[in-house]
Amino acid sequence: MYSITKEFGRLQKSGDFGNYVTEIDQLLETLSKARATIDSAPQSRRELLAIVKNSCSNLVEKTGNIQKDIHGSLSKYSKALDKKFKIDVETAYNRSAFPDSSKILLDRAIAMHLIREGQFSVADSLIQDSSLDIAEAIELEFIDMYRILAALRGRDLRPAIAWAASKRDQLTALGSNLEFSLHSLQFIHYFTMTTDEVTGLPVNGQQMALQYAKENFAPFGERYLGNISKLMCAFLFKSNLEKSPYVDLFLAPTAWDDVARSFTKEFCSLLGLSSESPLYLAAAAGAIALPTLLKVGTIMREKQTEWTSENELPVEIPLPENMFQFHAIFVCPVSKEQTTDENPPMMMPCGHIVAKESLARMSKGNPNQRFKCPYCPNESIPNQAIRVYF
Amino acid sequence: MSKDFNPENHILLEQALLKLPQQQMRQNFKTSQRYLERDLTFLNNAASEALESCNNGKASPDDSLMQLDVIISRLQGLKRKMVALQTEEDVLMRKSKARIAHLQALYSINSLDDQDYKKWNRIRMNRLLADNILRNGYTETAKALIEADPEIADLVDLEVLIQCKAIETSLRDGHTEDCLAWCQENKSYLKKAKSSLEFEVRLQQYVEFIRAGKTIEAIMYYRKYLVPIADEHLDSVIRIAGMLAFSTPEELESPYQDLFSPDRWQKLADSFVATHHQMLGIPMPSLLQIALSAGISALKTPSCRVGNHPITFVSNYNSSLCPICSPELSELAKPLPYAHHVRSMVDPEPVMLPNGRIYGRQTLLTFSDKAGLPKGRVRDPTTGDEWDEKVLRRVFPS
Repeated sequence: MYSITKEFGRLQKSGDFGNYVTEIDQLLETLSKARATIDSAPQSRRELLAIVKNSCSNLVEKTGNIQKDIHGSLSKYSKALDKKFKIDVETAYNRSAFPDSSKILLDRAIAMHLIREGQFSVADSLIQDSSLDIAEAIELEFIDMYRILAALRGRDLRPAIAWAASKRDQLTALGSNLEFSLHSLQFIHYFTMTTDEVTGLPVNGQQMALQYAKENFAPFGERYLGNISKLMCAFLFKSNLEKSPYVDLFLAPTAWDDVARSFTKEFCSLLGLSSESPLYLAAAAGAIALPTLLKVGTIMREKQTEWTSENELPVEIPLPENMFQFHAIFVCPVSKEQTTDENPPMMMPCGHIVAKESLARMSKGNPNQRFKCPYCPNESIPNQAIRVYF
Repeated sequence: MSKDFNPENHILLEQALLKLPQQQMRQNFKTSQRYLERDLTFLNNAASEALESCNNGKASPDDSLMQLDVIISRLQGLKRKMVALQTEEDVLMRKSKARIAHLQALYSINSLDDQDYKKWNRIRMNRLLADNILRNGYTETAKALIEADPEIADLVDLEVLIQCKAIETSLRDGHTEDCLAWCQENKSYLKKAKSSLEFEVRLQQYVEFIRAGKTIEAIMYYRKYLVPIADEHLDSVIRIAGMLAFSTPEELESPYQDLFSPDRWQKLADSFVATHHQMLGIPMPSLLQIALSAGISALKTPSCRVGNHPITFVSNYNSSLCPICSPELSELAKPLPYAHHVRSMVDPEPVMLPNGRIYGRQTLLTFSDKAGLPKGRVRDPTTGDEWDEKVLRRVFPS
């Protein structure tokens, strides 16, 4: 990148077309002066026309120099680019990836991405331009989501709580604690409040928290008694919360962000969607995977083979696990192959798991043939193994 | 490898970002050369002649003034052309500068978790979207996107892609003017690349005259445009002359079926886009498609399928968040291979439920507790079935 920046700097200095214009202007000035003089003193015209001729041929020389400068710096800059980008990025592209029929799918994925990102007017324009049919309802849902998130950013939990209450049954069925988390944050927010946010006047935050608890915590008593007790015990430490066992709970700096994230996730979940835009994640993973795939593509090009129709990439792509791992992966310890629906993971009676094909190989294809588990002394027959799901 | 952030890798996808304005600068430069050559030759000749005709007494003072006026107006014309080029050049320089700065920003990022990287990635995402949207010809949407994220304005080749789309569309509709004008502008490149685009387009125009029964026009066109370039395309030129021997388009259908086929214009349009992109260093698939083809494969696993996942279930591997299983991408992922893995990745302390499903013990207990189950009961997050905790069986995946 350094050489690109350097060469571009040079290009900026010497590649200016303004230099031509300056020279042309100078000549124009000379010419119009000559013209005026000839007009008023025709006897001088021989001398002046000679000057004109010289100036014109000077311009050839001057513009020639400018051209040389521009050409030189432009080609150096071009070389710096070529050196940096040696391999055509298209080499990494799998040509069977987007058949013509997928255009509408991609348009739709982009429209959904825009809706999720809250870019509603852009999404509307795309839906119109590409005549997609995306239910308006889904857009309205996300408009609602952004309204609630905006309120959360303004430290107003009420819209979020109202939403969570309206979805209580669905959220509980999913094992979500969102509604209680929101109430709990509201309680903490009051508890640590010393001045009114709007008026700036001093308030008795703890009194407000107590009042809030009385009004709102009762329905959660059965499931969250432990959490409620913990919150209420904080009154014992109200004067020195920083040194109390509750410091993490009450003064967590990320509490609002956490609750917003968890709200977004649950909100999308109930719509059957993931919280991060799939298009964004896949494109981000693509940027990370590209260098490896470029190498693969280059080798394949050299060997004159195509991206095969085989259903597995030929190399491992190192993606950061914490961001890009969404499924448990089982690689058969015997065959070193990933299990699939056709070749599923099977558990032997001893609890060890191998791929079905490995099982067949170890028992020489006979489902009643006894064989020893490759990992422990146990013996079993393939028919005893059961299909498991990760 | 995955922990360290390597900006060099991230730059690979960004080639066209710098190459395209650079190609345009080269073209600008060539145009300027052409202007200068033509006008300066004229100026010098005119100046010499003015001096000479004054010296040999052929020109009166008024004649000299007129000669001078011609020189001045020609020079003014050259100035106008150069100023126009300068304006274009300034835009290209500004864009290149913004793009270099955008790429340079990658070098101050240390890890994929950096907020700065996330911000950078958002900008890139919008840029990729704008590129893809423009290639489909959705100009209004692209403009709306740029308006919503002005940071990408200098990173998107709006005008180039709009112009390309316009020519492509006009060719598809059977109009040759725009494409031929473009060919004229880029004559030197087409010659160097041995492109037959212009010939093919002209040939088709001739075919259209014949289709319409305009034999005279066809012959005129043939003489004017096809004969001069017959050397390079002799076979075709000879072959299509035979068309004149058939009286109606129906008769022509059999020997010249290929040229009369309705998808000829479509093919010409595709060939134009390919030539255009090749010239400017724009990859044929959109950048988004390139990124997705790599990203989808890298993320895809044999377990990816639509709607078969527990929704709010947090384990080490949160399949409900998998982008490949999402309704948006699952169909698009179908033609692509899945990632290659050489080692298993499963939750710690895996246990099996009686239905054969395997989860990490802690994951399962936490989930069941959150779902409000009484102590000692577990629920399968995928199927919703419930059991006593005692049925859990320790398994050994590897």
